[in-house]
Amino acid sequence: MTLTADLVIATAVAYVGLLFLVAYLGDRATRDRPGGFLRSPFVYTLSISVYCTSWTFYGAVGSAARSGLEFATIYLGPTLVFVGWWFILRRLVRISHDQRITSIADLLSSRFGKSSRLAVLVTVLAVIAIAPYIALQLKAVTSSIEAIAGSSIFGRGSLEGWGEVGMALGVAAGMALFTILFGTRNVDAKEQHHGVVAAIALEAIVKLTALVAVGMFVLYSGGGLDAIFTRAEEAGLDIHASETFGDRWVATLLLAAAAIICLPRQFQVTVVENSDESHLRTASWAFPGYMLLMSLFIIPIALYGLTTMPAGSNPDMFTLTLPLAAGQDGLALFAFIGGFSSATSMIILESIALSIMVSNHIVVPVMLRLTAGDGIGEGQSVRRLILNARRLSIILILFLGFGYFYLTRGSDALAPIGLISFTGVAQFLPAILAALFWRDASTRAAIAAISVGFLVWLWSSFMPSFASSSPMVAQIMAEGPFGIAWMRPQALFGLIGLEPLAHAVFWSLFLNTSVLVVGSLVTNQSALEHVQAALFLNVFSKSASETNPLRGSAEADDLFLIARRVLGHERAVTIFSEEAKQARMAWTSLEPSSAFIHRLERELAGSIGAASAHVMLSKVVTGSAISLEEVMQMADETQQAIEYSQELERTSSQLRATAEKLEVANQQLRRVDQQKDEFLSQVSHEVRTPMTAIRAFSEILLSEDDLDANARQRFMATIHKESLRLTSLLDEILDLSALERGERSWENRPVNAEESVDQALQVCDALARHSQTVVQTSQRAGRSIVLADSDRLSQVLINLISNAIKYNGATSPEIDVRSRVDGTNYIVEVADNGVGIPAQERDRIFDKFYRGRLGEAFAGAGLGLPISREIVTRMNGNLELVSDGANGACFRITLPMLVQKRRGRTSIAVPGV
Amino acid sequence: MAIDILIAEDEPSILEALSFVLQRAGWTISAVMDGDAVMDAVRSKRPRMLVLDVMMPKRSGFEVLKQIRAEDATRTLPVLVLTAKGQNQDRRIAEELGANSFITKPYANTDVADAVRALIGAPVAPEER
Amino acid sequence: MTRRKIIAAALVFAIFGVLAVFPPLVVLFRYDFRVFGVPVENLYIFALWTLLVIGARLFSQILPHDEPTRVKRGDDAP
Repeated sequence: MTLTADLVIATAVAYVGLLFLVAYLGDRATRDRPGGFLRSPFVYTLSISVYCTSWTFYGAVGSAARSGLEFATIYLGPTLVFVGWWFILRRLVRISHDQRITSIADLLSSRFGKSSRLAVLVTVLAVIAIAPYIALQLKAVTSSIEAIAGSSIFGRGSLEGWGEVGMALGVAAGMALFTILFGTRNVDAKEQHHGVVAAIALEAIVKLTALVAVGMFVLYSGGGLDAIFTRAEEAGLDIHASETFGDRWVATLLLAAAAIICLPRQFQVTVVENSDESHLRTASWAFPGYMLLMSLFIIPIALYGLTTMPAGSNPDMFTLTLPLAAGQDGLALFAFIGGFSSATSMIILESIALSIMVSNHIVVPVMLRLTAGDGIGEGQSVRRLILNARRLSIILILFLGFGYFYLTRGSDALAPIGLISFTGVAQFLPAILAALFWRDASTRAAIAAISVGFLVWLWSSFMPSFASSSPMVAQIMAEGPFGIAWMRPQALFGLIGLEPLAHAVFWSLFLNTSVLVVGSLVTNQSALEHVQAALFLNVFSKSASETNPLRGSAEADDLFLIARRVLGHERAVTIFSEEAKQARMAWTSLEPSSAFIHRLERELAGSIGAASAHVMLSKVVTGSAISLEEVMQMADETQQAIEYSQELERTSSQLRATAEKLEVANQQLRRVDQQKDEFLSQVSHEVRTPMTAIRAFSEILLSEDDLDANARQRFMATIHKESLRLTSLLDEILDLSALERGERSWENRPVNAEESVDQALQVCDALARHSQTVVQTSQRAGRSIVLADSDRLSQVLINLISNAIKYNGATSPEIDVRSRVDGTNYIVEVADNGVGIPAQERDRIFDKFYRGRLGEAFAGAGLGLPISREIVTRMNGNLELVSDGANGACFRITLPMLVQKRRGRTSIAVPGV
Repeated sequence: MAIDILIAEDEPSILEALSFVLQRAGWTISAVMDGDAVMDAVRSKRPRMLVLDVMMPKRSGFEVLKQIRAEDATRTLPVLVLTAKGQNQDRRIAEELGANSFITKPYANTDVADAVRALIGAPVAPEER
Repeated sequence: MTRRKIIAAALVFAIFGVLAVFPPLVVLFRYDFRVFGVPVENLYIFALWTLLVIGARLFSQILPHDEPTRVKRGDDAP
C-alpha cells in the first residue's frame, strides 16, 4: 500500500463520516435515555481533552525538538488548574449552572452587571485571539497532507498543482462544512451538544491511541529510552534542560493555566457541556492523567526524529514522518488520522463556542434592535435566525483563521502560533478571577482592563507574528512606531532582556490586572453589578440553603420590607394580609411559615428572577454573610426605588406597627362607643316611657278641673306606679353597672341554698295569689351548702319566680320550683306552664333591656335577667334557659356544692373556677 | 263609621293618657297596641290620621310607616310619630319615611293636641257633647 | 479529618503543585545526570506529574460531596 494524498483525504472524509454517525447516535441516545453512558464522567473528561489539538499532536514534538521540556508547561498548567478544581473550576461550573451561562462572554457580562458592551468586547476579542489558533490547525492539517504527499513521487495524486495555500483553503472550507453540519443542526437553550461531545470523546481516544502507538514504535525502533537519550546526547543535542526553566517556562505555564479556563472551547466543554457537577471530580485527575499519557512519548519522538531524520526535516511532522520514513504506512495513516482528529475536534468545538458567542451577543441583539421586536416573536424564525447567524460566524471564524494562516505562512513552527492565541485569551483571566473572588470589581474597570490587555497583546504578540510577511511590521519591531523606541512591540517601555513571549505576557497581564484593580477601586458598581457580584460570590452558601429549604427565623417586618421594595407596596400588603388572615394574626405578630416564605420567594422571583429572589430571602431568613441592610440596598437599587435611609426604614416599620395597634384599639373603642350609644338610647327610652305617663297624667290633673274622683284616683295611681317603675329602673341600672364593674362585691360564704329558695317563695307568695298562680315545689334537694350570698341568691330566685308569674299568660297558670343535687352541683329550676319563650327571643332574653313583650305593662326595665345572670356568675354558677319553649319556660340555676373535707378545710368542688 | 284618630301605642298608661287628652279635645279615637294591628285598623276604621309610637312589639313604628306610605289607599294619611328615644337619628328616619309630624316623649299634652290640630284641623263639633 | 481540613489539604496540595513546577524549586533538578538513561529533569517533571494525578484522584474521593443531587441545568427553568 502506498500512501497518497488522495488516500488520506478519502480516509479523512470517511473518518468525518464516522464522527458524524457517532454524533448522530450520541444525540439520539441522550434524547432517549438522558443520563446514559454519554453522560458519564469519562466522556466528560475525554471531551475536555479537546485541549490537546494538533498543536499537541504535531506541535509538541516540534516544540520538544526545539526547546526540550518546555512543551510540558502547556499541559502542566491545566494539570494544576484541575488539581485545584475545588477552588476555581467548581465555582465556575456552579455559577454557570445557576446563572445559565452559555459562554465565557456570557459569564463575564453576567457578573459585570449584564453589560452587553463587555459581552460584545469579549466576543470580538475572542474571535480575533482564536484566529491564530485556527490557523495552527489548518497549517498542521495542510502540512500533514503535504508530508504524505511529499513522501513518494505519486504522493500528490489529484492534489497536483495545489499549493499550500490552496490546500489550506480547501481544509478550511471542509472544516467549515463539517462544523456547520455538526454544530448547528439545532439550537439548544442549554447550548449543550451531546452528539458533538460524543464525537469529540471518540476523537480523544483516537488521537491518544495514535500518539501512543507512534511513541511505542519510536521506543521500539530507537531501542529504548536510554538508547534514544544517549544517541541524542552523542549527536550533540542538549538533552538536559539547560535553558528551560527561565522566564519562558514561567510564562507558558501561566498561559496554559489561563487557557484551560479562558479558551472559549474549554469553557464550552468544561462548564457549559457539564451535565453533572460530580463529573468535574473525575476529570480533576483523569484529565491530567490523559495529558500525562499524551506527553509521555513527546521527547523520545522528538529526539529520535532529530537523530534519525535528515537535517532540515520539519520537527513538527515527526509524528507522521517517522513512521513514513520507516515504511510503516499503516501507522502513518493512523498517525495522520490522530492528528486530523485533534485538529477537527478543536476546530469544531472552538467554532461552535465562538459562534454561540457571536450569535448570542452580537447578531441576535442587533437583529432585535433592528426589528424592534416585531417579527422576531415566532419561535421558528428566531431559530432560523440564530442558526444562520451561527453558520455565518463559523464561516467567518474559519475565514479569519485562514487569513491569519495566509498572512503568516512564512513562519513554520506550530507552537508559537498557539501561544499567541493563549496570550490573547489569557487577557480574560484577571476579569474571570475577579468575577469569582472579588466583590468590588466593577464593570467599567473590567472593560478597561480587558481592552488594555488586549491592545498590549495586539501590539506585542499578535502584530509581531506578521513580521515575516510585512516589512512595515518588521520595521516597527526594530525601531518602534515613528522611531519611538520605548514602544517597540517586544521591548515595551524599554524592557529588554525578557524573551518576547514572556515580555508580552508580562506587560499585557500586568497592565490588565493593574487597570482592573485600580479601576475597580476608583469606580462604583451599579445596582445590578452589586447583585450579580453577590450572586457569584455566594454561589455556595446559596446552594447550601437550597438543599435545606429556607428555614430559620425571619421577622415578618423584614420580609415585608423586602417584598414592598420588590413588588411594590400594594402587592406586598395584599400578600401579607392574606397570610395574616389565614393565620388569624396581626401582621406584626405574624411568624412566617416556611410555606409562606416559599410563596414569597416565588412572588419575588417573578420580578427579579429566581436566583436573586432566593438569595435575597435566604439572607433575611438564614441571616448569613450579607447583612439584611445590604440586601435591602441591593433590592432598592435593583428596582430603582427611592433610597430610604436606615433610620427611616426602622421608624416607618415601628410607625406601621403602632398604627396597626392604634387601629385595633380604635375599632374596640368604636365598638364600645356604639354599645354605649345603644345602652343610652335604651335607658333614654326606658326612662322616658314612665316619665311620659307621669307628665301626661299630671298635666291632665293640673288642667282638668271637672274630673270625677274616680278618674282622678286612677290617674294618680298610675302616676305613682310609673314613678315606682322609674325608681326601680334606676336602681337596676345602677345595680347592673356596679355588678359589671365589679364594684358591688359581697363575700360568698357557705349557705344553705334551700333557705334562699324558701325565702323567695315566701316573698312571691302574695304576687302569686294575686294573679291566681299556683306555685308548687315538686322536688326539693334538702340541705345543700353552696358558696353564695343568700340575699343575692334570693333576689335572683324572686326575679325568676315573679317573671314566671307575670309573663305566664296561661288560663290556669302554674309554676314549679324544684331543686336537686346532681353530682357536685346544686340545681334549682323555675318552670312555668305559660306560652314559653319564642325561639327567636331565646338568645336575647339575657340581653339588657330586652323584654319579651308578652306580659303586663308592669315590667322591669328588662334588666332583671342580665342582673340575675351576673349575680349567679359571681357565685361561680350558671343561669340558663333550658326549656324548648313548647311547655312554658324553664330557667335553671346551677351552683357548685361545697364539699366538706375531713380535715375541715373547705373547697369548691368544681376546680378551675 | 270613620274615626278621627287611630292611636298605636303599647304602653297602657301612655295610651290611656293620650286617649283622654284627644277625646277631651273633641276627636274620636281608636287604639291598637302592637305594630301588626295597625294596618288592619287603618283599613277597617279609616282614621283621618295616625298617632304612631316607634317602639312597639311585633312591628316597629317605622316599618308600619313605611308600609302606609307604600300603599295607595293610605299614602296621604297624616302620621304623627311619637318616640321615647329622643334621638335626632329617629327624627331623621321619621322624616325620610314621610312622617308629617314628630314628637319626643315625654311631651306636653297641648303639644300633641296642637300637632293633631295642625294635621286634621279642629274637631268637627259633635252634635251632642 | 473535618471538611475544612480536607479542603485546606486540597489547597495546600494544589499550591505545592504550583510551587513544584515553578522556579526556583524546579531548577533544583536541573543538573546533568540521568536515571535509567533518562535526564533527571524529565524524570522529575513526569514523576511530579504522576504524583499530581494520584493526589488529585485521592482528593477527588475525599473532598466533600455537596454537588446538587440532580442535574440542574434546564430542569429548573423559572
